[in-house]
Amino acid sequence: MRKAFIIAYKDLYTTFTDRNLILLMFAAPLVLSAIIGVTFGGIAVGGGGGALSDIPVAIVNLDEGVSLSFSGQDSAINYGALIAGVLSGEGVGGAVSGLSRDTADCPAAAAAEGGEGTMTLEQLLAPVMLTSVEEARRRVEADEVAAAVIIPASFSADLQVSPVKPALTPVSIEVYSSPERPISAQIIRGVLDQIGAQFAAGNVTLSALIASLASDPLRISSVFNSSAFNEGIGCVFAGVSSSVVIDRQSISGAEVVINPLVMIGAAQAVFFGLFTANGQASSIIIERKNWTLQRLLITPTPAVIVLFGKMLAVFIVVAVQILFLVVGLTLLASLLGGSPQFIWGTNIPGLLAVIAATALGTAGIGSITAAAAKSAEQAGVIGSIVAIFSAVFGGAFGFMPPPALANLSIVYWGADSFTRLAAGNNDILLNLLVMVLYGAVTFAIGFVLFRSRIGDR
Amino acid sequence: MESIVRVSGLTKTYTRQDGSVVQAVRGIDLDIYRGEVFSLLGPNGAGKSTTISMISGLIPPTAGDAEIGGHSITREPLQAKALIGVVPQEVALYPMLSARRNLDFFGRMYGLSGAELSKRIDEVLDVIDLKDRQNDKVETFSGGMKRRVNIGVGLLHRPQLIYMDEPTVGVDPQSRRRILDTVLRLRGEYGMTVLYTTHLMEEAQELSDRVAIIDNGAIIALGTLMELMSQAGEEDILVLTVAKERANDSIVGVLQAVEGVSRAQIEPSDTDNGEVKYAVYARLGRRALPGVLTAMNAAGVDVMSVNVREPDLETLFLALTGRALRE
Ligand SMILES: Nc1ncnc2c1ncn2[C@@H]1O[C@H](COP(=O)(O)OP(=O)(O)OP(=O)(O)O)[C@@H](O)[C@H]1O
Ligand SMILES: [Mg+2]
Repeated sequence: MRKAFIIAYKDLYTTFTDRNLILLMFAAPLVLSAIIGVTFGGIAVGGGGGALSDIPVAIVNLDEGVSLSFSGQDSAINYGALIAGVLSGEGVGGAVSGLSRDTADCPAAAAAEGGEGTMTLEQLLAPVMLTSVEEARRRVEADEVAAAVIIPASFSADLQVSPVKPALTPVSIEVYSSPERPISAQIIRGVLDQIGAQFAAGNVTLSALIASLASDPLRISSVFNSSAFNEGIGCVFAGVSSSVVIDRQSISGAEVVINPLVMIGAAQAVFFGLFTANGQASSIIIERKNWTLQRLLITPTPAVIVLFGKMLAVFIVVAVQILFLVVGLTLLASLLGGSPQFIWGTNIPGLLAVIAATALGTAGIGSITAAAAKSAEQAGVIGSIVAIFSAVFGGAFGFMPPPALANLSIVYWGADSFTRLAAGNNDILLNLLVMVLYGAVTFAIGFVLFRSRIGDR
Repeated sequence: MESIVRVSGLTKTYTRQDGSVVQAVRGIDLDIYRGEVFSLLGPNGAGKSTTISMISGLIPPTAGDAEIGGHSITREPLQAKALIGVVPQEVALYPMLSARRNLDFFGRMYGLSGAELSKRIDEVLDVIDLKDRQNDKVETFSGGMKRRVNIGVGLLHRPQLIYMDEPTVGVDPQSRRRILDTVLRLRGEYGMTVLYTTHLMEEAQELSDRVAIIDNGAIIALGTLMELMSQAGEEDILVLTVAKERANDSIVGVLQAVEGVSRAQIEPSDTDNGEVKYAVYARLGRRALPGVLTAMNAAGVDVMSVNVREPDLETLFLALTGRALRE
């Protein structure tokens, strides 16, 4: 095993003392990702630390509302108006009559408002309220707004729970977005997801409460009138308006404010990783041609250790390259934003694990091409084809093929892991597992091919 | 005498991509004794490198086996390999690394490290006489210098046995001399056993205690130089070159009538260059020469050139195969 490290060290020394190679391997992908990111990502330079702000959005609220009635106490609720209010930054006053509350009374909301490095919805969105769906669509098509949010007429009714209708009816808010502004549209969708999540939380509490109260009608009115209850439901909604903080931590599962540099850089990192893995693994072919591989194999060193050492170097070079890209893009984003921005999320161990697993997967693929190809040129061609297909299947070129294809691509798994982490979603275990397995299987195939070709001319 | 290498029934058959079969090595048996220089002499494509590759554990034999110091190369490859130093026919070095780094790397692959490794590297640099260039990239070396480093790598772990596969190919006469001297020194000073392959008769003749002549994957003669020479015959050969239009059937008879000549024949030749060569066998070639020339003169045949060939491995190869060792 020690010998595998010696071989890997020799390869790393050779690679990292080659100035041209270094330039090609590190600077090129960084520059390219940055150019793509800045050009297509629409990074707003400056703007008080936010990558994006004042996204134009049209809001059409068709919701007819619903009235609540408990033992003579009437109140009307229009959830649609609530959402419109949240998005427009006008607050929730009027959406819930009789439950008008000040944000400041809700401790969680007040705390969130002052959070540093975060952004409120008012800063993020520039909404216009419309009454006509057609008009909203027209504006999207004319690229006057990034998206139109259309709240259906039965929205409140569907969301309502009562003793006679104890479950929520699934609802949907239509987001009609412009393909020209994919990132803005993503952000709006993410905001709505978050609002939806809070609604669901609020209503679950509410329905549990109503269910328990229904069994004891005598207590209904007293509970409903208690300040504790009002504060509870009020804060659910009031909280919406201020705690949808545009901060990658607070919104899980949605690619909300993923910096465009991440969206592009993540897939590019894996894509370039594949090229690097291929190039580095081609050193096997070059060693076979120079006879140094044969010379290695006549030392008392098992062939599997020799290949392992070579592949260890591939793994390290790819990992270093991706790490370099991740750090480089972080610096770039911080530079553009004017303040430090951890665009890849704050889960550093997770990030390192993803980098390692990605490098493992790509190194394994490299081992197959290097073992199968007849010459370094041939390996280069095969490797490029594999890299490009992986990138296309993996969504690196801006569109996502069907999952059956995407799942085959290491680019998909790698990029998906990075964007998950960037979005504050730590659910990457499956991704890691897939990539490690990918690496193990491809290495095994590579080794069998390698063994069978040792004596070839 | 104790054998350090025992090869038995060693065979390698390749199947090419087009389905044709190449019998690169056809059942070789041989023993190499401890402390000798053993040469494997044969023309291009004879199977020398294939044999070396098999007995160094690089490629598996199709059949047969080799024991190195008692360890089977197929069943105990790691133990066997540890005993062997190999100098491949190719210059197997990392061009981007310095001579010293190349030595250091391969030394570690033989399990050396630390001060011991450093000492060995210095020793080897001494033997190959490259101390002053040790930190230069191999890329910048001349062909002869690269060859020397190539040999150095094979010596690092002080093996008892070293295989050298055509180590003088493509080097200038000066470097060749140096390499041949190194081989003699390895046996003389360090008591190493050397398996040396070459297609050059002179090299085999100068270096070897014993020689095996290999052709077409099989050993066609094996023995000490003395044994092989006597097999080649004890007579000298005078080779007379005559223009083709002057050659005629009576010349062989004329030559055989000269005193001191035992027999004469037309030398087989693959090429038609307007000349015919006659081989005249005589116990003392130089003494018979004047008589031969006088007889040819009397017969009216102009002799273009005369070449006196004392018996050597070339003669033996010619006698055994009907072909010249080098084309
Ligand atoms: N991997 C291979 N595939 C097919 N044929 C091979 C292979 N290796 C060697 N041969 C063939 O085996 C024969 C012996 O080759 P080998 O290299 O052992 O000869 P050699 O005596 O070392 O010749 P040279 O003096 O040119 O080095 C040749 O005909 C060669 O073409
Ligand atoms: Mg050879």
